[in-house]
Amino acid sequence: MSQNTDERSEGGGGAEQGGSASLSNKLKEIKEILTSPDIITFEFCSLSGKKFAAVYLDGLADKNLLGELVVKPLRAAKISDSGEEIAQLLASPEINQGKEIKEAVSGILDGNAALFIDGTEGFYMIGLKNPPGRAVMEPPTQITVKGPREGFTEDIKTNLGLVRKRLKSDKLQVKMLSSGEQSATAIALCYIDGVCREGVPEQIEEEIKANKIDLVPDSSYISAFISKHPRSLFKHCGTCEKPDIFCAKLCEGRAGIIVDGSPIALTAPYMVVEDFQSAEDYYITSYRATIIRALRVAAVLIGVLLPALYICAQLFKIQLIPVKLLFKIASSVSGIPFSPSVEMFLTLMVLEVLNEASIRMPKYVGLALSVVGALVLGDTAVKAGIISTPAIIIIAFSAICLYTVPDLVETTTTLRLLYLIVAGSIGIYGLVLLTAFILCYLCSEQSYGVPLLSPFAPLVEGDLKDALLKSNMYSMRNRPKTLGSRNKVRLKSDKK
Amino acid sequence: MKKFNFKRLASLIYAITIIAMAFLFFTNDFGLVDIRKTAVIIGAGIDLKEGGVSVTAQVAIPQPSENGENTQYIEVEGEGATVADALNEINKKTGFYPKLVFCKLLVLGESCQNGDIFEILDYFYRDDFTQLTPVIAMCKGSAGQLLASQMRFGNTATVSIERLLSDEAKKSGNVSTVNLKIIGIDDYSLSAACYMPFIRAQSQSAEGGSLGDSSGSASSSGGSSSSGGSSSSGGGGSSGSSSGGQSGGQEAPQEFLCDRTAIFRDGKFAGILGEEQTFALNLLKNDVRHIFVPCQAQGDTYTLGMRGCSGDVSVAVEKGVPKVRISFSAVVQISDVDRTGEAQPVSEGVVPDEVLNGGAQALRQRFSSLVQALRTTDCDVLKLRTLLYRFNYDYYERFKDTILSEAEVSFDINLRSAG
Amino acid sequence: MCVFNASIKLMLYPTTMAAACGNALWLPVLADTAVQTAFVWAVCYLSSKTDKTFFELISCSFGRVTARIVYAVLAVYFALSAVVPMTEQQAMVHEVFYDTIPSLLIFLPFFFFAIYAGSRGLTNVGRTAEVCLPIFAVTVVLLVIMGLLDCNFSALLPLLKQPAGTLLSGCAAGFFRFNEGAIMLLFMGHFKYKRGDAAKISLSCALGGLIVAAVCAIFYAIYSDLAAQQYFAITKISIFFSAISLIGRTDLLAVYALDVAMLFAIVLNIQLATYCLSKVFSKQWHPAFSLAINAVLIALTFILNNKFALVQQMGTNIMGWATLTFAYALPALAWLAYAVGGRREKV
Repeated sequence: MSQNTDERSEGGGGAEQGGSASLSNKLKEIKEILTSPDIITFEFCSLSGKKFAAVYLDGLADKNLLGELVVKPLRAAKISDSGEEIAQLLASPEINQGKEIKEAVSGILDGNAALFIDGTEGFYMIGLKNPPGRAVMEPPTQITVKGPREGFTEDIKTNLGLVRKRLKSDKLQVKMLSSGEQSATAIALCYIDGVCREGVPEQIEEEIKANKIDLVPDSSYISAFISKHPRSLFKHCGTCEKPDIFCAKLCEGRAGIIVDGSPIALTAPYMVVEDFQSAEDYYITSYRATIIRALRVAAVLIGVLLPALYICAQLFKIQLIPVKLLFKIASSVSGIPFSPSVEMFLTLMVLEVLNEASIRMPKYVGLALSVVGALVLGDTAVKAGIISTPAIIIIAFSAICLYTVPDLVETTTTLRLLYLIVAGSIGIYGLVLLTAFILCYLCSEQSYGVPLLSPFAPLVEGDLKDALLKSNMYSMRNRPKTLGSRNKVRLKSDKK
Repeated sequence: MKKFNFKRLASLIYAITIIAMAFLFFTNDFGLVDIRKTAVIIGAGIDLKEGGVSVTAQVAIPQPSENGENTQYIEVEGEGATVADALNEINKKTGFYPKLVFCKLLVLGESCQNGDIFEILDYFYRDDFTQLTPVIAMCKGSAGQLLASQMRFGNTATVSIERLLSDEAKKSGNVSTVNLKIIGIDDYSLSAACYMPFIRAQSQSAEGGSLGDSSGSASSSGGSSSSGGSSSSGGGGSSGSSSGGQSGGQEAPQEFLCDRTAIFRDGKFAGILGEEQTFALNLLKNDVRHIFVPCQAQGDTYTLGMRGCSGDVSVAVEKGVPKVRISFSAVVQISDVDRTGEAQPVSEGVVPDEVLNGGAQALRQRFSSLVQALRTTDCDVLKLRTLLYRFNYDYYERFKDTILSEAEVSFDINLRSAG
Repeated sequence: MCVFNASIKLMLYPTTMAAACGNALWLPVLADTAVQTAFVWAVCYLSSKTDKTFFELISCSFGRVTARIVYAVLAVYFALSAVVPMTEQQAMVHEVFYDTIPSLLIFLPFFFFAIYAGSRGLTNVGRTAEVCLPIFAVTVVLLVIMGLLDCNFSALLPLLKQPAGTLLSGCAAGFFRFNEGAIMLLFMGHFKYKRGDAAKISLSCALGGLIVAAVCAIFYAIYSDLAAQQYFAITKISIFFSAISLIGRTDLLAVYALDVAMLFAIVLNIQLATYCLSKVFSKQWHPAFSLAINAVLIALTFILNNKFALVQQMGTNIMGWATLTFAYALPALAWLAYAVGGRREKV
């Protein structure tokens, strides 16, 4: 297949001889760099015989728009030799001029079309990007019963649009960065000027620029770049999938990062308490929200500690169990061939396998495997005396509890396993030591100058109104002091 | 010199720690005793034997089942020079490590009247892993046979007796429930006297053997006189049960009574209080809520129900004379009369003064009987000496030896009609 | 910090006071608290006069070498201050956390935590104190409420009838546990003094002592003459709560949570010893200091294993004098240093 397969030309004579402004030279240069067969070169002429060539990436650029906004008007026009009127003829609202071939390559790979004109230096970059993507829909991890249901998508422009829809402020700053040597992933750093904590956007920009990597497929890579301790078990930047949460966090004094190709936006600085807050807390009554938050905290504590405490009670301190329950448990476990710790460990592994398989398995075998999981691994294993009923109940309950705070699931499931191992090996004192260790660790960690355990440590009394307790909107007139926003007042009202 | 790489050291330490913990996790190799190697003792009976003690433990043995509903109870006996020795023998016999943390009942056999109960119970006060929460009682005959008895209402002996000695029973005033802590405090206090309920089987109720319900006659203190018989002279009464103890070997289901109280002075058995004396003691010691007192008034027998009960003992020294005041107040209703009542008074619920006086008299009589019995046995169960020390410290040295025997006792009974 | 530091006084202190003073056990606690609060106030008041740290104060007045010597001795003092609470914690772990006696190895993981915590800075101390305070408050209140239902406060009578000698010996026996004055000295200059802070900090120190006195009183009200036999009072006061028989020993969960606060209180001494060492060698926080101190403590743990009575005696005798020096004499020295040269510019 010759090179001409990728080219579509129409009319006009052969390639012009001449200098760098010659269309054929430019096309040759482009083809030397972009050799992939999905780079299409479309050559056409105007009425006056002026030659043009549009180079675009098949699959990313919108060919219809190219035809309507570029080819049609130019073909129908009589273009002078100088080509001054070309810019006026192009119907696209997004037109940039460029000189360097590198810019042209970058723009083409980004999904735009480069328009080269015979006899003219430089080129026009026409914004025709129309990458395949999904529609705006409710995110699967942050579902609300009451409140907006829009979620971010993989397209950065859509996401920025969703943010702009909610923050119609001239103080909203969006700085476009790029990361990834090969992927050149676009990153939007958003913050509200005058509200955002001083120095944070600059630090984030520095961190992003300091890391050179081939590909940035997801925002989690950027999250690792901007975290001070990327190996830490705990996050150092917040995540959200909903534009309303994202905007609310910007308004509190945080900076936000939207990464092209990822529906998960990042925010910094981060506090652990924000994962226990849900968007819905702000749309329902404060009493209900407070109860739900307390429930989340209790659920996470139970989810992490319950399997470990159960092991400790069986192995080291049976007094923790009331006597009648103890007899039931003892009856259930007396025939089990494994030690309590091994039994719990195995049950946990089975749960993790089921969890993983349920995410990965094809839809069509889902039902069959669910039956296998529930009946065989659950019911039959208990009847066979391989694992006990209390172990299954505890692990199942623990798993459900941890999903009350889905943003922390990665951390809490790891912690659960850690607690289990410590409980089985050292006992209750091990749990206490591990808890103290984690508290000590969290107390010493910071995210862009904000301690992770704020507003509890250090204690910031004013911010406690929106920590575990959710006060009424009129009680939270100021932005969180912890975030150090320059503009402190959030709500001005005569109501009390 | 190369800079010491702490990060590398830290990684090495983490790796070693994880391997060590994984090893411990999968082997559980601290040699500790887990749930499967444990014999959960729910009740224990202690009898004094020649040369030592015999401990009968009622042990729960959970059976394997899916829904955890099978628990068998067996009695295991161990003998030794001390309670700890006997428990060790139980360990040897069963192969299970006996844990007393769930023990809710301790029963001392009648043979313990021969010794110092705190020598017998010393193990429970020394052991760091045993709590002082078990309810304690003395029984007629052998504690081991009591625990092995078949109960009329199903369940084990421990559960049945526990029910008799429960908080609810305590609130009715019929049973004086104490635990190891209470008797320990009482014995260590300046009064050096304690008490515990005395259990006997229903078939043994025909025997006499208390300090006399109303006679208040003197009784012997210290050891029991005959096996199977009561230790006091009181009513005497032939022993209805076989020697060696109660009818624990009978196949017929048993019912137990706990309406008497064994009292101890300096850890030694001093006597047994009868039902009325026990009742009086409970009114003063426990938080009773709803009691029934039979009394005579206007030629009829009334049963008075009393609520809002409050009983107290106080010691005062007035003009150099020690005075003990026993006070009791309650709100009274007529629960029953041995004749038909007229509609109007029944509906109004007003208790006539004569009946109130009758009730007060009945209570006074019970309190008086109690005081007399305590004086006879020189057993300061009402803790008069302690009260003297706490509230009249200046007079303590002068009256500590005579407060029980010579103090003027007055009764302040205040009954109010509910209607 | 002064409040949650009281948590380590809830382990064996009530029992030793009950053995020493009987029903007047709460009086020596109050006396020791009052005296120590006064010295804490003195240190805080000094903080209002100068923003220098204690090291800078001594350096200005007596020279840098003297300051280093003082801090070296302070490091030894704080390291040794951790020994008694550590051995008490070890005994408590063996009795309360396990049903049968485990080996010494069970306690050794404490040193992993101590090494880690010891290598954190003073900022970490302040933040962990803010986390521990609510944990301490909630758990103690819970345990006290569960214990109150079985109290007979007449066991504390007669009031003030104990011989003065008994009370004084009780004060002396518990004296070494009150070292907040020495702790506050090291925090001088590390916090921004605001008006009223001296009163607040002193009150919190007094509150900590009051809580200990209250727990002692409740403990004695529950156990009366048996109190001297009951170790680890705070774990024993709620046993008789009626719901325990139904729901199991859930009060132990409160005890375990309280133990988190106790751990930080014990480790506070190690953290301060590490800080002193770093000042002596003029280095930033380095894990080597924490490792060194903990190595010494591990060695002491092995040597003093099963020598509990000896440790208590050492505490009363040797540490009593040391506390007198560092928690009482040293604040006075700080004032002297301030008077001599504290107003001068920093060295």
